[in-house]
Amino acid sequence: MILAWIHDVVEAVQSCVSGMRTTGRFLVENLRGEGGAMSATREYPEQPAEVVGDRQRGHLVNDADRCIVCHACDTVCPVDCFKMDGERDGDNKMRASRFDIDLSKCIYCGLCVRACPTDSLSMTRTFEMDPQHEGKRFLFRRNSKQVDVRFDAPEMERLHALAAQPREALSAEDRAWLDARIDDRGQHLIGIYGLGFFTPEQKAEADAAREAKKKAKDAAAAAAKAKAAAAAAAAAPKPASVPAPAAGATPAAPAAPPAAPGAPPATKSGPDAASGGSPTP
Amino acid sequence: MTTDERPGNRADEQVHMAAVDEFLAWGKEHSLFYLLFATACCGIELMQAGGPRYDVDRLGMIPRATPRQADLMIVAGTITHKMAGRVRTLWEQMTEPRWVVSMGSCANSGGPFSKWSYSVLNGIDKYVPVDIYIPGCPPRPEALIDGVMALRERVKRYRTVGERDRTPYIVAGPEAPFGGHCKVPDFTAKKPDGGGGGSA
Amino acid sequence: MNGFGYAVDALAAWLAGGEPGWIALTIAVLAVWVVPILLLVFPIAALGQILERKIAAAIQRRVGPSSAGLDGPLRFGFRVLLFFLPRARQDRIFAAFCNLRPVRSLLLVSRRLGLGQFVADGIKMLGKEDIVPTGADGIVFRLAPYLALAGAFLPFCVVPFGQHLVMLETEVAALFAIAVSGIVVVALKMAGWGSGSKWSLLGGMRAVAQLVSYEVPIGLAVGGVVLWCGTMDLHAIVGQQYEPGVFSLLGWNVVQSPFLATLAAVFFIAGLAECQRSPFDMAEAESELVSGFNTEYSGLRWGLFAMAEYTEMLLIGALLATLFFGGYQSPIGEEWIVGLPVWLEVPIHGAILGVKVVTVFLVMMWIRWTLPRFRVDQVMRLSWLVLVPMCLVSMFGLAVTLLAAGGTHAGEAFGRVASRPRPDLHWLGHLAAWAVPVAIGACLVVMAKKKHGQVHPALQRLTGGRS
Repeated sequence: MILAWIHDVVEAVQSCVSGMRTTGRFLVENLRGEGGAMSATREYPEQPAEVVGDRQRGHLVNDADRCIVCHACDTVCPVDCFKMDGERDGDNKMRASRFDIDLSKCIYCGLCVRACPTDSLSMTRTFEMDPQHEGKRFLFRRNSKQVDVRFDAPEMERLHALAAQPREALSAEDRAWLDARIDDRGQHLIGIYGLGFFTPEQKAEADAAREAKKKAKDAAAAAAKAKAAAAAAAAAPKPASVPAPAAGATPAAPAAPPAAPGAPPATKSGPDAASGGSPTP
Repeated sequence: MTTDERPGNRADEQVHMAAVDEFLAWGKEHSLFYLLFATACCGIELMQAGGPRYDVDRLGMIPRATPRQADLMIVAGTITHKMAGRVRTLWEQMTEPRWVVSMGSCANSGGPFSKWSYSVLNGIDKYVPVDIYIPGCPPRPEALIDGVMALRERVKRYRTVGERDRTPYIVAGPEAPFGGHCKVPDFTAKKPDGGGGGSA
Repeated sequence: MNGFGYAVDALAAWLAGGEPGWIALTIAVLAVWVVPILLLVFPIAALGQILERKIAAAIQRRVGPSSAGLDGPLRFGFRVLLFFLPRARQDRIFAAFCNLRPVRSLLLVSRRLGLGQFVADGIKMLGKEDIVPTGADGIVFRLAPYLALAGAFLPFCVVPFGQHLVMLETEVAALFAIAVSGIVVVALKMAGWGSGSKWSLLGGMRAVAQLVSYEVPIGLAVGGVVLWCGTMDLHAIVGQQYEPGVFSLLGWNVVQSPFLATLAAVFFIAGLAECQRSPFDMAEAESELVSGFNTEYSGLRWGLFAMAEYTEMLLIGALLATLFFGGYQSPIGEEWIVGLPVWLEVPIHGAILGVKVVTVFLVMMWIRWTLPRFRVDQVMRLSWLVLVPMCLVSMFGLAVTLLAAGGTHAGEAFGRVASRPRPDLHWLGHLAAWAVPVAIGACLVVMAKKKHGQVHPALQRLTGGRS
């Protein structure tokens, strides 16, 4: 019994020491690294936010110039966070006169971005809503009736312009207008509603990305088309050889013909190239 | 109307207690202890924010288990109707000055459950007055820190002298939670009884 | 009568203008001793908090508090000093001052180190609403934090900080320290009961059970030292550990005998439990009881509890250093310090004790951020079934060692401390006092390992037989 007791004590001491060695190593390493260089911390407000990957969904923004108010996003949205109105412009095209995204409802699922036919909706890769970035962020008056804060493009421009000025410089009317919309006192919603989110640089970047995406899409479509044409052209000379085994007992195996040694060299698909090398006659 | 223009505040600044008040506000700003409380996936992000990677301890925020010692309630996650009363109780047990951050779409507005769910509260602001709403589903820890930075701006302007702005903030009538079956909390009460009565 | 005693008497005589009454004496004691100690220990305990947060951060590979610098207090200071100027002028002057290069870098460094964090926490607690719950017992609830703080502070008055820096030199100093720190038990119980909350009550009960249990090994550990030194006077115990020459380290109690080393370890562990520190923080187990006995406390009262906890850590460190690690003596000879004038000698001795205390403090934090919490029954088990038997065995061993030494000789006087009889052990005897118990212990450990655990293969071959 005494031996068991001693064993318990020794075990306890050993395990404590091994645990404390681990943390002690961390402690020493961390203290040695200058200014916490060994620490894993990303000091967010000082260091820029982390972009996790290409598909990160930060915020939902709408480029009103492209929007045609087709309500596709509204249809697909699982939480009904869009409110939009449209009007016809001089060319009889639909344009968004107001387009609100309730960022407090939005669940950032990205379905609307997929549904959007004109790529006017997009997700940013950062959620940057840093209070240090003045002028980009507005705090909106909000009540729990789930927000009917609506801004159209001219209003948004006015908002930007007014918010950029010092408060004392505003006229009484402007101030009242601003107070009705921006709440500096009560409950806040951090976020950017609908229009007017982009700074010029961001807009240029988004445009470039969109162009690149479109180009890539076009190129992929062209390539696919070309490939299909090539495949069709290749398939055309050998209609005789293919049906023969296919008409046999294995309709479920269309890959069977290339395995046959007498297959024509026209099929350039993967397994064939891998197994047979270059079967030039 | 900004805080500085609130009637009486300008005069306060002529009083030299304002310096003390500013100092107190500085302390509050740098020492926001948050309540250890989370209900759903936003809670995971909240834990992340407390972890080594994002480390809100940098900002002087440490979790406290008891609402008495907490300054900040981060409502992280879906709040069901059943839970809402408890959240309200926790808020009442917190000591002034206290702040509430609503984190994520569920707490902001019910989020994905806002439309069809019978059991989820559409926005915690029906029960407790919210200072900052953080959008996201869930928000990344950076977004939470971002919201905390915005909150700190408010805390910095908080003054003991003068009345704290806490306007009643409740949807009454037909829009009341539970369709009027529950007791609507009274935000206009002068002093929330912290689990009971008198103070020292 | 030490230097501070003279100071107290002189001040009291001056205040009373003749034979001092008790009021004058009280004021003098407050002015000479209590206020300086409070001014010394409060900031250290407060700094302990920020130190702890930084250490926790380092262990967890974080940065730790780094947003609150000294700019807030500094701004406040400017506002107070320049109260006659308008606010904008104050701001301008402050900005200009902060833009001075050394000041700016100093502020940046202080911010990085989070030096203002404890100031921020403190003044925030001052500004918090102070709630006394409805079901609470008002007086008990309000009294408890002060009592806890008193229990943590009072034992400091028998701790020798230097040759001339002992408030109370009494024959029963060790007993006094243990007895007075027992007030904390009452305070925690009062906090638990007075809050009128089930969590507090459970936390208070746990605290009492734990503290009372761990008083026993602490008392026995101190008893071992008393047995060895033959006195309860802490200053005499420090004097007993004096060894002339450069290797004054060899005079410390902890190297006298393996039993005393064991007692030091037991004292440390039990002290950890007395402070309610993790892994013994049963009383405020956050995952079980909301925050234990201080669940209902907010603001300054809670701050007092936290302060009491840190003060008690300092106290355990000071007692450990005094009883086992030579008190305020330096490990590299004492002659060069004792001979110095008082104004130089007292700070040096105080600093040496401070280093020892802070070392214990750091180890406590290291342990806290490494080990998980015990279960309630494990805590009790550890006290009654492990630490107490260890203490008893060690005391027995010490007694046997003293018997074997078979006599005493007059030791060296250490500065102001009179010489005391010491066990008559020559260097061979000291060697034997270490070798025999260590050999027996090693044999027991090997036997235990062979019977119950895994043994290194080489050791197994050496000792033969199965494992």
